[in-house]
Amino acid sequence: MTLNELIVKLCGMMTVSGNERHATRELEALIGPTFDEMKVDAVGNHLFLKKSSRKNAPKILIDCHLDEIGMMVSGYEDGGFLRVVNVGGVDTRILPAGEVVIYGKETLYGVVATSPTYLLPPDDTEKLKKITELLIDTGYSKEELQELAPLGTPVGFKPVYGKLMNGRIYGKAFDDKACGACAVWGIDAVPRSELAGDVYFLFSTFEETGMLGGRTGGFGVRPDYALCMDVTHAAIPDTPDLTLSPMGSGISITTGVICNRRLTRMSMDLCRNGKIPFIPEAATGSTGTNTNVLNNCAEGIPTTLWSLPIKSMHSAAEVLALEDAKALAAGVSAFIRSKEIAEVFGK
Amino acid sequence: MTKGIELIKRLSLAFGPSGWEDDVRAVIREEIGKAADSITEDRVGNLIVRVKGRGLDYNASKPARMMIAAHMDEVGFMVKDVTDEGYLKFSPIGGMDPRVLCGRHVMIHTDKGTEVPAMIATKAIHLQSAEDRAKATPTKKMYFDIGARTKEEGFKAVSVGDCGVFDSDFMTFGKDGAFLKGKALDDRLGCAALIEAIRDLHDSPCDLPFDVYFCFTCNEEIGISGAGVAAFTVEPDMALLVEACAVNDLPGVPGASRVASLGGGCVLTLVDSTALYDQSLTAFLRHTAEDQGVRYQIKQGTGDVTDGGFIQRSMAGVKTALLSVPVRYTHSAASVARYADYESARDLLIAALRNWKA
Repeated sequence: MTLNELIVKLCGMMTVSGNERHATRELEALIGPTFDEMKVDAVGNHLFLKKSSRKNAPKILIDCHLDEIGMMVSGYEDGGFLRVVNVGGVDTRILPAGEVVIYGKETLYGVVATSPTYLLPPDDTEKLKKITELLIDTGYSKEELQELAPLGTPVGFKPVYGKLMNGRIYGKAFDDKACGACAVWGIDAVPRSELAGDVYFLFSTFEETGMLGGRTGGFGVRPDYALCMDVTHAAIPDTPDLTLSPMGSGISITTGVICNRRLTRMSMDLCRNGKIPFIPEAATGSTGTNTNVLNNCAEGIPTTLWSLPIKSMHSAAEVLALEDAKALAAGVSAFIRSKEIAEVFGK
Repeated sequence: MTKGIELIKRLSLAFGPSGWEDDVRAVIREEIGKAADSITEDRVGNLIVRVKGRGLDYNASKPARMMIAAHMDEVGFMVKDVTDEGYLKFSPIGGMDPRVLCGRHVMIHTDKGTEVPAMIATKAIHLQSAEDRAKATPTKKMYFDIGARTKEEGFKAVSVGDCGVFDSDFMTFGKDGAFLKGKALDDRLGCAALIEAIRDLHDSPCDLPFDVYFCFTCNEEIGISGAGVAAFTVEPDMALLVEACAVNDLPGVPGASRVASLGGGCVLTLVDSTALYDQSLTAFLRHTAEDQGVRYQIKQGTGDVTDGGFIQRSMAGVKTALLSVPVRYTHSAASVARYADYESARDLLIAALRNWKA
């Protein structure tokens, strides 16, 4: 398997926040062999452990969130249409005529309905609807839908993956399972004897809806230090006034108020020494990632935030650069090998 | 998949924005094979397929002519420029609704013969302003991401004038797979109906009182009708257009504004933006549908632009009628139709030819 294939397989799973257990079996089969143990906790966090051969090894936490944004069924209309509400921040601009999958008692397919422009009043032809005003066309009757897709049934973007030039790939839910794939790839590459500590890989839940899983998962492990990995926005032409890094710059390492300064500096040194491309990113307040909750978890966890730049986040057509993903995976390997970091932050 | 659905799938997946109908033409030629008396391509790219008449009512020295038309082209995109950062600026080909474009996959077919996948990039929700979320981005502000990093890389892959269409698979869905999803159902459904009619007339020949000219036409979507040229060439005595009818049969939409409904059968149109259709021809289709038990509905509403008017006002005028298949979300990557409605359009077309009385 290639890293590209692992990314596509992981991201293609349906893990809309609250439905992470939907993927447990698939996850176990796909990434279980990299680890010694796997457990699912009370809130659906999927925690994987790879033990080092060192005695009294420090606990290293690597957090990526398992959940993805999506929708859930909130009502039914005559003619076989569903109403939905968002789970997390769904990009509603991509929804009209978009394709979705309804994960009910049976897996159903749907198209987000739109009206022909020539039938709309002139003022409405450019108007975008709120997600609660949208209808999903399913090809089933209202009664059949009530049976097959009960209220609360998760609805996700139809997974479609493909390649652009220069090793760019597109698809849904790179946020954040693409980072998860890089973590697994990086952990898998390091033999047990070379690990600086026991590696706890936390595939956390409910990040998109308030970072619940990072908080409880961090507490469950009580690691000595942590690496939080999430996606960040790559620069696009629409964002000239934002200081976003161009795609292909490598790992985006955040210098932030709530990121551990020493661990961040050591992370950058690690990349410099290992010739792993990275680019610094600055965050004055919230990072919008689990770093927010890990940093303050229990007695506090020294945490560094590494990000994978993607375009069109929270859409069905996110784009990432494989070179960045490879840098991230190499960075993970270096991080869990690092005796220097283990000496400073280990017990 | 039934044979009919397989045919629609093949046509739906064919590449054919207005002016670039070559692939569609090739598929149609192949699907018709030897089932027609002649296949010719005219100077603008219309494919004209003749099935000869015979029998007592057929005037062999001066045969009457029936034109059956469906357009091959689909809406698409044309590359206009590459930005310094390697993104492609584009213009829509045909009536494109900017609300359905963000985040869509596109396949560009270049002049060099390569295929270049592209995304219609969208600003992430976190970076959108309130206005961004409330109002569709105009197409002139959109761009394709092909993965190029510089203008040079972009121009190495594509040229100004290269065209793209939605990159969207074809599938059946809904209860018993009764619904079809794909791009370009407008008007590949019409093309499929014509092909099936040609095959039907070939497989079980009947006495036709006229020569039938099945015309697969160009450039409908940009409003510069290839069908008008075909009509000039064929000089038909009457014409029947087989189209996709854009419908709005959504919950909450009142009766007449729905236009027509999926599941209601094929659609007969009395009037649209281009023509008031011939009453006797339409009445004949109606009676044929009733006699043969083919499900049909009369289109409510008068909008929509078709080739009808171009054919009707060709030469000294042509008796013209419009038969269509109701389609939701036309001109998007995910048009939806019901196979049974397609079947009723196809069956009515065949029944009308076989039972001609006029």
